Amino acid sequence: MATGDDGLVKIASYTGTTDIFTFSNLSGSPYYRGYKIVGSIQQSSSGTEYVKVHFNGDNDHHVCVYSRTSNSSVSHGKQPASGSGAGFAYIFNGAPGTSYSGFFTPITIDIMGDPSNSAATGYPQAKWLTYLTTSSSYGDIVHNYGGLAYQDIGSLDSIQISTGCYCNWSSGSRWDLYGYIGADDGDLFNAWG
Amino acid sequence: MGSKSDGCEVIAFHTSTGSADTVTFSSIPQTYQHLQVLASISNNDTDKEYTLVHFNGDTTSYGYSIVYGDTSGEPSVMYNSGVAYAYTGWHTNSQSTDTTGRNTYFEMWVPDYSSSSKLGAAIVEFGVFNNNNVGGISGGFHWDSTAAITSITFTCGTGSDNWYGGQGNGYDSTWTLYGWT
Repeated sequence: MATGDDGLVKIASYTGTTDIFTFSNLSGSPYYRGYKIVGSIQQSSSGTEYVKVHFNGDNDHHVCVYSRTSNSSVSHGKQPASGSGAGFAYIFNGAPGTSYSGFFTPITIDIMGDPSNSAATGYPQAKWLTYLTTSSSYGDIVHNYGGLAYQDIGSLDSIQISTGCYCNWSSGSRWDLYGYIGADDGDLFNAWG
Repeated sequence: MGSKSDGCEVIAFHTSTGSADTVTFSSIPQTYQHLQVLASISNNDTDKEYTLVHFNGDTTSYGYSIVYGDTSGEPSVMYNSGVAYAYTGWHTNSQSTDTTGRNTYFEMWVPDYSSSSKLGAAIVEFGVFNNNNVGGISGGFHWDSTAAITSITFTCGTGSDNWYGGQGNGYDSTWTLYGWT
């Protein structure tokens, strides 16, 4: 874990290709008021896929809503905290496959709700935005945005990100995690060690 | 170059003089992981205008998808491919009574911009005030080139409008380029 007094620090990166990876050991000091994840990603198969997010390794308690464009149409969807699709925070059509060589999806995920503070009284929440084309001739232009809430009060210790198909990420994909420095329980200096 | 920060640094800042319709960040250092642009912009006309983006001065092939909504309540999409610019929605004007001072606050991300194996791609999101309506806009675009991105140009539409500025007040259009480490 990186530390600093600049308001924003880079915490970790993932540049591997394994389909599931985790940013872990996030709770406790230093405390962050929020996180931002910036990615440039592609999956190593054809077609498009979900990006899935799990907080704290939990396969339940996530609920998300999203909007998705496909050329001129706009659709909406949701994933519940229970029942079919439970436990996944879908980020729809997040990664075009190798049919679209060279195209890597830009993505940002903002995680809010005082996530690393164990005394927090709200659900950790997130929002995301992506853009991609689903055709090698760019005949289908898509972007997707949405938000999720993790319905369990407490600190956020880990963020697991995976491809929806459990195929690997393409070489060259990268995810970078940044933290907005905050304070814990009113102790303004705690965050700076 | 701006001051050092662990997470990001200010690379450059620009304030419009009011006499130009383009703003370019050039010779962008290739030492960061991602680029972010935050801008407060309007034009010198009485109506909204497009915000167009070019990478490396290239005007050959871009694709984009931008969704926007206003008080009608229904989202609409602007999209295209193989065009000469990246359309990122529009910005407000400075000369209408109901829009003066209500700049458009624009955010753009360009992840892994220094890669020479990926097509250039970016995402944008912002709000815009026009004709007494407030709309939200988000989306993204790509550039059909794998060249590392060394310059970014913001163009005020396709007509004769300029970026509003040169007034020395808080309404002057400004752009700040950040490098994320």
